[in-house]
Amino acid sequence: MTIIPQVQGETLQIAHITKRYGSGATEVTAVHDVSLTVSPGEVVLIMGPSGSGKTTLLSMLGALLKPTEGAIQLNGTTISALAENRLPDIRLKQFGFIFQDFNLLSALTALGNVAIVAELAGSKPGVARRKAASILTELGLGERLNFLPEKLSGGEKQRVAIARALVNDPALILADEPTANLDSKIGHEIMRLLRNIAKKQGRSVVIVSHDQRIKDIADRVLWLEDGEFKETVTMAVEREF
Amino acid sequence: MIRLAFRNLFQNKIRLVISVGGVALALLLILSLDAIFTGVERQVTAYIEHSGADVWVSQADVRNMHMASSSLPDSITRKVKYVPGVASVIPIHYLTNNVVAGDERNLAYIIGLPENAEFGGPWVISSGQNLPGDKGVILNRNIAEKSGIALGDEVEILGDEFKVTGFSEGTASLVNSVAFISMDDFEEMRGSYDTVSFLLVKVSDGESPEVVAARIETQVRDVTAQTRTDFATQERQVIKDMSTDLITIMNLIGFLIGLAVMALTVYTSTLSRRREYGMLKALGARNTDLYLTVLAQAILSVVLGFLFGLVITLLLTVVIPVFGSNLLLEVSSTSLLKVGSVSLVIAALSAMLPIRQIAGLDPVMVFRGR
Ligand SMILES: Nc1ncnc2c1ncn2[C@@H]1O[C@H](COP(=O)(O)OP(=O)(O)O)[C@@H](O)[C@H]1O
Ligand SMILES: [Mg+2]
Repeated sequence: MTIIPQVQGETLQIAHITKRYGSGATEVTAVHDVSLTVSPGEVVLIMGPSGSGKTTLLSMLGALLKPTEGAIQLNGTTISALAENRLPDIRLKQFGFIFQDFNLLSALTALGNVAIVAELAGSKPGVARRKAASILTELGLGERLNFLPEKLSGGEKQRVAIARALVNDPALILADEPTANLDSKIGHEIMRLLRNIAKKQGRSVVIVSHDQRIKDIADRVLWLEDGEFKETVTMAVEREF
Repeated sequence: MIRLAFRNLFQNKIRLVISVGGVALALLLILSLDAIFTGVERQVTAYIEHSGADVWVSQADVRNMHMASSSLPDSITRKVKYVPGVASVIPIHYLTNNVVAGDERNLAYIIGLPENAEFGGPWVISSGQNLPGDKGVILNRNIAEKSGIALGDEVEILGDEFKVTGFSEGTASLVNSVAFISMDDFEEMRGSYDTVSFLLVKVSDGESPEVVAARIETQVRDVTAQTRTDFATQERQVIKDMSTDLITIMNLIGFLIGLAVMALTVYTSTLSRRREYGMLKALGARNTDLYLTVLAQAILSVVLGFLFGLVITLLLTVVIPVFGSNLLLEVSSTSLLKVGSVSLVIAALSAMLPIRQIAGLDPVMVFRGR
């Protein structure tokens, strides 16, 4: 295990992580010796061709997959060293997840989809629903609270997903191809919304995507290829959206 | 999570109808059969319960009425009368035979009653006399109506002619009825002048039937004396013994149908939500949260099925007598308790396979394609 010196103010630190699938002749190194630090409120975009290891990397960041080597630290806790049964709670309270195909529960309304995640984290049903309603309203879905996912547009669904990712006050939001199922205008709008909220609330965001059009919402763009970072593009200018 | 269970259940209406309907039907099978036999037990013990006797005295070791033959010497009546605590004694004759009217034959419990019997006779009379009288018979009104027998008509019992002198109520069961004739006619018909079948005993005010029954057994030789309650219980036991196998088989069939329907619907429901459960796991739901959701879903649909099955059974208990059938359905608390437990077992078992399925879901799947 790699020991990472605690750096104040850093949300996420990953040091020299490698992920290998399989063994022997069929062994695949999906991620190789990757290091990365994400500051509070920072929006990082990881891009790369298909098969470059983006999903594998994101799964490790989200405590869904253990790295073969290296360490992942979140706000001082080395989550890559935690026992398996501690991880659900970490995911629930420290991470917000946003998926390519929204992944909403089809039987629950927009409000229900957000509230259930707060309930899982221990909120009382009434409290959870109030929290969910206020976040959804903030995201412009005040009129859609009681709509089932099937009655929502793609952009609205992804906003519900963002609300769900925010409801438990996570330190880090992880998004996997969040614009892949949205048209480019809506996709860009939603990413800008996510960026604004992250900035306002001081939450870090890591987005994995190969959508070139959302590059401008990131503070930093990393290029992943064959499981390794090839170049770092820093969007130094802090623009107003 | 209970809300999720509820919403999941009501989202797919067809699946809901299949599972609730299937369970309802399966439980209806168990409930209605129980109700039929509980009804039969009530009908078979109707005469005992309404006889007015606190204690029944029979030949030694004869413990029920219809599946045994009891014969007591005439002289016993006097002996029992002298036992302290006995207020009055009425001897009766009893046998099972056909009441024949033209082509119609109706099986009946034939009771031979002494003249002017204070109790032991029909308890509700709808028309005619309340005691049969000489060469008279009191029949059940329902049975008589079905066979087209009117007051004053002649019927044949064991080859002898009897005139219908009264109609009674509450004396018919699914398979037979109770017919009352006079003791003298019975003895003449049977040639049994110095024996009786049972003694019906009323105890004095303030005496307990248990105590008096025990006293009779110690003071009078070669008799068995049981309280009315015990005698009726023994009688019901006869029905229970006869119906146990049938009920067990039907219960098992009902249970298996219910389980099969539930297992299939809960399984397909969980299967179709694999991705949703995987997503919840990725977000941080614990396995137990998801198990509870599936279990709650199973329990909810079984409870709905149970209520549905119960409502139909209760409707049947009301509707069947309206159509003039002598089938009496009675839902007992024992049966409810049994079917309730069976339902819960079905719910728990049907949730097992899906729960294993959820346990095996790898949350990483959310980031992978379908
Ligand atoms: N569960 C797995 N078992 C074996 N190989 C895997 C597994 N998941 C991913 N891979 C391999 O790891 C590499 C990176 O995959 P992935 O992380 O999905 O990349 P991306 O998301 O950038 O397309 C690919 O070569 C892929 O085939
Ligand atoms: Mg991928």
